[in-house]
Amino acid sequence: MIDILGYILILLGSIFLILSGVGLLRMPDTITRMHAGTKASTLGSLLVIIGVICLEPTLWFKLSILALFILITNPLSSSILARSTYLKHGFLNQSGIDDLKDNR
Amino acid sequence: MKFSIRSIFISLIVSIMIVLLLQIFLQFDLVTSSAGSFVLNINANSTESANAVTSVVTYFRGFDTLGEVTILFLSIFGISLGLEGYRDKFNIFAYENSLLKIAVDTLFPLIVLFGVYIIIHGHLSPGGGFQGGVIIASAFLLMFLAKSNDFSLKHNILELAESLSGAGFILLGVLSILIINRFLGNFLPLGKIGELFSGGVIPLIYIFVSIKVSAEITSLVEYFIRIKDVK
Amino acid sequence: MIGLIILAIFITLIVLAIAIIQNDDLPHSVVLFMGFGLGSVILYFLFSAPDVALTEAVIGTGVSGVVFLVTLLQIRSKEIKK
Repeated sequence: MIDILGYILILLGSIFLILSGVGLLRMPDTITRMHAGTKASTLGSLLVIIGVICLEPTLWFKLSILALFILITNPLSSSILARSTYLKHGFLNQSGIDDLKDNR
Repeated sequence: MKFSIRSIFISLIVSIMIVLLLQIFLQFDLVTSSAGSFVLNINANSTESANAVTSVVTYFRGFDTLGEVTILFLSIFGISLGLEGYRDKFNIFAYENSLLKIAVDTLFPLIVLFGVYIIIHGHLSPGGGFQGGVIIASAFLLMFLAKSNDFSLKHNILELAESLSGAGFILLGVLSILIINRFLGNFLPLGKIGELFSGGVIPLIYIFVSIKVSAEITSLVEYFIRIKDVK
Repeated sequence: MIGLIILAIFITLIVLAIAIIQNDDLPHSVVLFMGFGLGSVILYFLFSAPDVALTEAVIGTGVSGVVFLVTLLQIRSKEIKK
């Protein structure tokens, strides 16, 4: 029973990873590409790791450290990329709200 | 010649189609050689190490490992000799971000833990002293990149760690010459294959190599980050 | 099937190497070089040499890329100062 749950989670995770790749190809500019590439791939990797924990329960400690690593590094790198994009190319969206104006 | 992403993709697709045609016509497959099983047979009789590469590197070819470590030491020595006068106390990365600093504080122990795991499981799983040492050095590299001027290492401590571990490596070899008449031979009890405390002298050698490699690569990166105004 | 994947990665590495040489933008070239290291990591792993793959993953993708980027940054700062 728990094996089937693991396989379903791995399949869901790979679907999210494929969607993130499609998003990287289809999106128009840097910020939206980062949006597709970070959030979907974080969720996909975490789902794959949880699926592997369901399949191999003895490896849970190493895999949870891996999940913690992905949870820290992926949003962090996205934030740093967005910030440096802003610092290099300036204000990109059309809404008129510029929160980082003072930190330039 | 102008080079764009599109041309890279087109050439990629064309070459994959060529590979597919070749696969159909020529029936490629992996060629397996017999050297691997030969080494595995010798390894099963001499050292109780689950990873055969480890016993090749430290036991059958221990003298070559000493040569590799010496080459690395000489390259770092040359760099420090050439750049010693141009060192500045400021880091070239002046990028300040409090989010990055806080996250790196959490990441640093994780990366060091991974490196220590690779080192002490060198005789059981892939990896070993060199790889684990470079992973620990990359953790220090992350600290240098993220906390530009808040993080600094004392060169005295790095040099002390490097020379002590190198001396320990040589002393281990000389000790084994005195005991069993072979450089870097095994004079400790072998233990059972697949356990953490097994393989005799191999984990000790790897611990010395890892301290040496991590200190060397860290001081290399530190030199490169801090030089200013080379005439 | 595995031979097919290996040949595809070989071809990708050749294309990446040409792209590294032909690129005018040096930081872009360094990033492509790190991608080249990643491809060779997969190749070493498929040729059942995980030790070499681990070494290449740390040195070829991590440390050497950062050392190249630091060198480029040092050169840029000298050029701006003049």
